[in-house]
Amino acid sequence: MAKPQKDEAHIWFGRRDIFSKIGWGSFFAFFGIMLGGSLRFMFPRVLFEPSTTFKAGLPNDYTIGTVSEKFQKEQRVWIIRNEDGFYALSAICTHLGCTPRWLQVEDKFKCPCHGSGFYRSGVNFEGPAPRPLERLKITKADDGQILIDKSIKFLWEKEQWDKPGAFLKA
Amino acid sequence: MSEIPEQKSNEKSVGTWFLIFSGLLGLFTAGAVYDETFTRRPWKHYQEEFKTVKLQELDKQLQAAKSEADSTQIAELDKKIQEESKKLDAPEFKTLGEKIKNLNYELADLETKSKFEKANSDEYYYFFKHALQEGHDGSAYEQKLRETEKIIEELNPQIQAKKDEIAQAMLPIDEINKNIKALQNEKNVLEEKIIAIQEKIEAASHLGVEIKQFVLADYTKGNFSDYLPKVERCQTCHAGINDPVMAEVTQQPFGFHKDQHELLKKHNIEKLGCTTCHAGQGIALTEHDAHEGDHHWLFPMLETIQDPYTRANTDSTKITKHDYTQSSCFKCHKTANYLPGAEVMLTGKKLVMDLGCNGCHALPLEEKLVKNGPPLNAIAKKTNPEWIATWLKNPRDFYPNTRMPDFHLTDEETESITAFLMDLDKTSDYKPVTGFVSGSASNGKKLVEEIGCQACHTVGDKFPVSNRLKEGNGFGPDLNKVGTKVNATWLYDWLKNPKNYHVESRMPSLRLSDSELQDVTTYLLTLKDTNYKPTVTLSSLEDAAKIEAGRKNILKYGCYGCHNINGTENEGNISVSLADIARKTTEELDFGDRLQVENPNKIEKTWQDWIFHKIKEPRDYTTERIKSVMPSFGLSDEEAHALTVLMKGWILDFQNQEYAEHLTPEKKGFYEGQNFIRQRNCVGCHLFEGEVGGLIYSHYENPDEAPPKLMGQGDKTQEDWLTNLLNNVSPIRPWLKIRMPSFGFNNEQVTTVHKYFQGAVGKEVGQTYFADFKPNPENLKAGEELFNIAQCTKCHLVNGVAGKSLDPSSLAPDLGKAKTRLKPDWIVDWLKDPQAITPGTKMPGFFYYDESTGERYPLTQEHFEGNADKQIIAIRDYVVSLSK
Amino acid sequence: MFNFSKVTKSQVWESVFRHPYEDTNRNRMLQILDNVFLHLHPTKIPRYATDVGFTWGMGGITFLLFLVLTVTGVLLMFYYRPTAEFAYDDMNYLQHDVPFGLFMRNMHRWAAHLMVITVWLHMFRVFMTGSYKPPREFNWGIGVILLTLTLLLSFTGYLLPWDQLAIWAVTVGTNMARATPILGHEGPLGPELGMRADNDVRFALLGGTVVGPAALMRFYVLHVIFLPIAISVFIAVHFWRVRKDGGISGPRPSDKKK
Repeated sequence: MAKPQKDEAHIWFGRRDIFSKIGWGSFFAFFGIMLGGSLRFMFPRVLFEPSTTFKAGLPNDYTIGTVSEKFQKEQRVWIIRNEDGFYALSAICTHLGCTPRWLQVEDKFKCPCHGSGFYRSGVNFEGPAPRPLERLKITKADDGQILIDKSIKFLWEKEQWDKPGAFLKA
Repeated sequence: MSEIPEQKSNEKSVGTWFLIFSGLLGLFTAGAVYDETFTRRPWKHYQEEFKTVKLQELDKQLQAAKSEADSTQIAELDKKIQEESKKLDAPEFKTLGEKIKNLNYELADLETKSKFEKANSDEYYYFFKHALQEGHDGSAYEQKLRETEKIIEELNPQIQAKKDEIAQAMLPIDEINKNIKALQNEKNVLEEKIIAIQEKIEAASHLGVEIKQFVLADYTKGNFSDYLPKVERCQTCHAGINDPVMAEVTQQPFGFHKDQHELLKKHNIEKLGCTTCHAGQGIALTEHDAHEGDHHWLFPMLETIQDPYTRANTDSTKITKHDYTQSSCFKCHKTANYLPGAEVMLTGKKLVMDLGCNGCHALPLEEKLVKNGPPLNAIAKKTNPEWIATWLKNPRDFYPNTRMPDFHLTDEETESITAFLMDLDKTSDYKPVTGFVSGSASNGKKLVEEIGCQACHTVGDKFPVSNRLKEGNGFGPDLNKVGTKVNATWLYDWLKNPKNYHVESRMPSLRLSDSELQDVTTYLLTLKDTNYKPTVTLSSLEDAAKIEAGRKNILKYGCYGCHNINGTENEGNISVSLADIARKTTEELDFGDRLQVENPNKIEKTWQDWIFHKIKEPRDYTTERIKSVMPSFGLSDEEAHALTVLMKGWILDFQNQEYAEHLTPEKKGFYEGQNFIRQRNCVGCHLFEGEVGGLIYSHYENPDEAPPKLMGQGDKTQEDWLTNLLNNVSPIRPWLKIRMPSFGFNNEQVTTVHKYFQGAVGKEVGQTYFADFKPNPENLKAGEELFNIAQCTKCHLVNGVAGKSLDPSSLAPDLGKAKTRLKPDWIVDWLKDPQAITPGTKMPGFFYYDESTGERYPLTQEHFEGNADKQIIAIRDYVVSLSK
Repeated sequence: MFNFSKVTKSQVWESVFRHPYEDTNRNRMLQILDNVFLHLHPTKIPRYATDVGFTWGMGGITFLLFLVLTVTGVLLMFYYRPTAEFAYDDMNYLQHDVPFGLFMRNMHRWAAHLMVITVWLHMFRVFMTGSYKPPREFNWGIGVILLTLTLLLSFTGYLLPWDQLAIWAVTVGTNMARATPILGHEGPLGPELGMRADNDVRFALLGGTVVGPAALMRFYVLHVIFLPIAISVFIAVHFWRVRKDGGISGPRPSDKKK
């Protein structure tokens, strides 16, 4: 074997082995793409999971100053209509996850498990619950219905209740 | 080993091969990535384009809304809002703002402190309780707990005081903000439309690229009765299909669903998906896979299906392209007879019922189908053997529009069948009434034209038969050649009482007197076919062998499928069941020689081409080995197309019945009745719901001389009255020349008629009215006065007594029958606004309704203090009390 | 220009590639000996074994295809649920929306078809070169078992898409098992020995009397667990015997002398 004339060892590709490099390059490109493809394969485009969003009817279905328990059983969500608009509260007690009850006369949510109490706004004021109820994303769908997305939450303690989506103006 | 000489290593280079193969590998990999990213994901591109198109559309709408809005008023409000907000810039508010800011900081400090103490308190509480639980000494924690609780208690009033202070300071600012808000609200009301569009633009600008799908979890059942989910992704590309914003957009595939019959309102896409109606592969994401698939596939999108008719008519009308979609309607609306938008499919269904396909095939129809032709047991008394043979040889030579198909019989077969039919008379006990003597043909002609024969039959050349459907004057046989066909005694007997010859005949009695009967019979016998020539020479019809051969031919061709023939009562369907015909693949259909390249009648190898040509030329698939006996019906391309469309929906599907049309008893009865009024050709004379029927109306120049329209009849008349009318016809409108025939319906059939009328207005069958009608005398007195003021007797009869009417054609129904005939609510509605119920009626509206004020003007001011509603009820009560 | 020698001289590189690529006899041997993946391969092979015209490389290609099938098969298992409700739909999801899903599925399918072909060609070559003769007659027997297992893998995989083609093809295929002598209810002596449709060998294969949900589950377990393990064991023995029987058979010594 003749010794290389110049320091060919330091050159990434040269005249002598360009085809060899192309060959190996294709080969590793194939492996790389196969590996990448296999990884991408693990992330499907669609899921067959229950939808986190639901349509809650037209805004006119709700009277001002009421707490709607229409979706409490099915979705664990209360929809509250006040003078300015709507917000959706997650009906999960922040203490240990029971479903509180809405007491119309006392104007509060009361958890039957350990007695946590929440104002209409969702803020806790009695019992062991450490933080207010969570608000859920509420928007208007294309067809005019109220659209609630349970996967996006707004927490009072993170001062997210003022963010867009936490409240739907009438 | 030592024997084998030392070998040098193989130094032959395989570098070239390595380069070639690795190059190929690289190329194919790159190709696969390209295919994965672009070729197979056209929806990415579509959705990006959709976003652009939707935003453009919204922008257009926004501009329109802006130009519509009252800009001067908005500008004024804007100015006011600016003025109000400027107030806040005043120096005193600036210092106030600083103050409030500081106060807020102080409040925040206090609240943070409180929160931390609360957290500490919770922690100590936990350790304290935990210590007790574990049996340790928790007093240290208890002490700390009490301390933190005390701090919190002390902080609370401080926080409250700070809050109050802030609220106090905020008062003047709040005042201004309140004003601004009020103005803003006012502006929002004016800009309502604009804001709504802006919200949509905001939402549309966040549209991402993703697969959109519906999952119908329980749509179909699999082979093992397990529910299979059905996934619909059509909206991934057809993104605007359910989006009202895209209503005006025509660019495909983004357009809004074509919806002239409000289909989407009745068929929720989210519940039914798209492929339920359109077929195709909902899960697929490329156009080809979703729409057409490969040629083995049974369910390509119905819009892609083409038969010879649609191929020939693609240019002239775009509608034919969508005809096959109608076949899906059949899957759920099996018993419906009138569906807007499904006209082609329903034409096919009418043809199936009228042509009598049920004679030979089992069909997936739920209607009760009867034999389509007349009984043949006594045909020897009805006509003569020469005519029978001529008719059998080719029925359409005699009546071009007949529904009797051509069996392409040989002379020998024709003669044998004729011999058998003549011999069949021995088994019949039919005896025609005697007493026919010739009458006046001209009087007979007048009667035929007046009493309504033309509602069902073609007589004369004024109103030609339109098509092969049993509708209007195509319902019964063409009478223009009847003189050549029938014997005088038979015809006289038939007109006198059709049930004597054929118990199940649909021909009604028209209550003709004996002399009228003689006139009509004489007239009809003069109608002869001048071109008639017997085509088969008959000899020795009494030959027993010939008769036996005829019997065998009858069984071979299945004549008993449509005709009652004694001795064939136990024979079954001669041909295959068509209930699952749409599931047949082309491999299961025998195309005979019609796929051969050199065949001038070569057809395409598709399901619909096979069916289409089978219907049109039934014998053309015959080869030397496979014979077929299906007769030809002489159908047009259009009719064959309608039948093919219908049959495309004949598939035994494992579809969950929850998805099918839910039929209330009323609706079911309505459909049953719809079918019945067609089967009895009620539609020949009367007009029914949905503008169906009234086929005879074109015969009358004056609409008042035509038979009445029966829309909303269920609201109008009582069932008992209608039962009585059908059983014992007595004319209600004495001025009409056309006669309501006596159909001789049995109780079941009468109930079916009730079901139609009541079902059409959504009511139950079996109600009674005015059973305990006791109006108070005051009402009656007022009613009588109003009755006279309105001069009701000027047109109406009362218990058979005519009032002051001048012209018989302006006569109106007898009010003496109101109590037994009409429904109470209908009389009120009728008096309120007759034109709303029967547009064009001669009944005047006495109580004008002013739409702008919402008030109804009374007839007089004296009665009931001018209350129109009370006056109407008084008239109603008086009219009802007139009944004897 | 990037100085590549810095990388090749690094400790990481040298810990992985223990020998410099110098084309000496010793190095060639060490490369094979030290490589876990090539360990099954003999350190030295005769000259004629590298001749494509002589071996066709069919055994190696078959093994490569087996590896491809294993990798793609495992990936497909992430999405495929072998139950009657979901099997067809899962196949459809792979086909239409899973990224590279169709690619993986088609690779699995084509590789399976190819493997059957290459196994036959390998066997043909072995027969034509007389390589089944002593001392290699036992390995020929192993080869026949491998052929059977390949065909069984192919057949069991056929049912898994759960479409009409799959169900009817497997119905036809398993109907042949009815006629198995003694063990099939339509085979010779079967009925006499009490074989019925619900207790014969076909029943055992299908877990029922028709190709139903139970058959799908059985075929799945056979396809992804039982048969692959069995074929792996036999492949190992096959390779091992190739070496122990004196490597790849060569031309007759008389021919070699030429």
